[in-house]
Amino acid sequence: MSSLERTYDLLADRAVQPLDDTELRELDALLRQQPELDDDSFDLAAAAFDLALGPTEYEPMPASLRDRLRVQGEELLAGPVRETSPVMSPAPASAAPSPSAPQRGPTALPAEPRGSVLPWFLAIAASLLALMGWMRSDTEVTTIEVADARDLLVGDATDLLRQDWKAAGDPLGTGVSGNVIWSDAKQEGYMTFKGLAANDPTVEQYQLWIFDKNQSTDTPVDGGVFDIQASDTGETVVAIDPKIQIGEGFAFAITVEKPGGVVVSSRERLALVAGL
Amino acid sequence: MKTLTAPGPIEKQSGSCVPCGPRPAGPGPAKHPLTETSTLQRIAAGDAAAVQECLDRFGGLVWSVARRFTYDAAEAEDAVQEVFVDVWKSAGRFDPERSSEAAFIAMIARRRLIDRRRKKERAPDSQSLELEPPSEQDTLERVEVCDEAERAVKAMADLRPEQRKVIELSIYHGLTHEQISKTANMPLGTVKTHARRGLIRLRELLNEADAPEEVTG
Repeated sequence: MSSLERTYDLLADRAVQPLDDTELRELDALLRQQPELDDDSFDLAAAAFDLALGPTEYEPMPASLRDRLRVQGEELLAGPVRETSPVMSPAPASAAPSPSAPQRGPTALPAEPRGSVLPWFLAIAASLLALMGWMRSDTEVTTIEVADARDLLVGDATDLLRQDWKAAGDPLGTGVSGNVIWSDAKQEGYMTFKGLAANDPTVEQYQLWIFDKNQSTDTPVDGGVFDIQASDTGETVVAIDPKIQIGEGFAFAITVEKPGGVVVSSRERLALVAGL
Repeated sequence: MKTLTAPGPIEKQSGSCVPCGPRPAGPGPAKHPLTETSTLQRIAAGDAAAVQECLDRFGGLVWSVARRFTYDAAEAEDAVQEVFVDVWKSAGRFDPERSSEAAFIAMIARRRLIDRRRKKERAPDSQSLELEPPSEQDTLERVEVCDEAERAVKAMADLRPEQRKVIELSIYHGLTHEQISKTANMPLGTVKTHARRGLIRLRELLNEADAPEEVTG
């Protein structure tokens, strides 16, 4: 069987069912040789047949869900309201929360006022915070959960790797601080940024690459694409979404790529590195 | 509890187009009357009003796909939320020359749901699979899926019966190759071959249909 036939087989499999890690690695390696084959055509074909086999009319989604989605979508397009220390969910290719992340966890609250504080102020503040919590949309709950999930990982993981970001040449990465944390055991990690420039997701997106000691540094693992919005002026937290199992992650790099990311990065626009 | 049985033939759609719903003019994505841009293109441009329109047009479609891929309504709601976050952020990648909006959104939904399944590292419980498409009386929302769906139905007719059967179990019912092997009483290798060859052939047929007609004479 030729590599082209094998690539088509795996792309056809990927369009209809989950690939295991071995298959994902094999497909990843094949697409590095022929990146032009990764053009969504199999997924679009499967989607077309899903539509053809489906009903002509659909049961509507629950009204409460539709309302949440509308608020979430409108806020996203308008630039979501952020708290003092905003956090965000990963972008399209990495939007799924980590399996171990809480689905409906408690929301993070602003830090308590320090120093001399009058009791009445605390009482009013508590009331306001409770009201804010009640008023907070599900969108904000979702974004806050990323920071909660990061904090949970910091508390739970016994093999936590932490590396600080360093500028790597691209202007978008200049003046950035923050770090990346990763657990091989939990296959979970988070990036924290302060000062990373906003990107226009219709033009370019950030893409994370994870370097695994079990693989050549020429073939880092795709860790997902993500966006930084202009309103993200404080600390931003993004969940890592590795496309395949990471054996022993030791370093990370962020490149600037076309929307949706790439299979193989030219590394022409290297924004940040950690552990390299 | 429904039993795991192979679905019937697909003739019910043959020769007929899945309803397109209202469209301003001709095939292709619905256009805004003032801007002549599709819903997804308006979302990509930051038009918040297009969000509601997108949910009205495709909410039922995504919900339907999610219900087929998930175990319960709560999981489906989480999945749908992920799908639409992806849709809002990926809208700029929609290319009306390559697909309809319905196919683009269905593709995102399927990818996200397959990815969720991979991360959960578990196969769907065959005992709880709903193998029958929703009945007419249970359905309320129409969706504009005409272009690819019509071509897909025609392309499906060109497949061998066993390929059609495997493709339908795989794509619509979400069964893994192993589950299809048991359900259809076919060797696993045969199932994989039918699924792969079937989808590869369908992709070719769809691409052929996409190609512009040659002008002669």
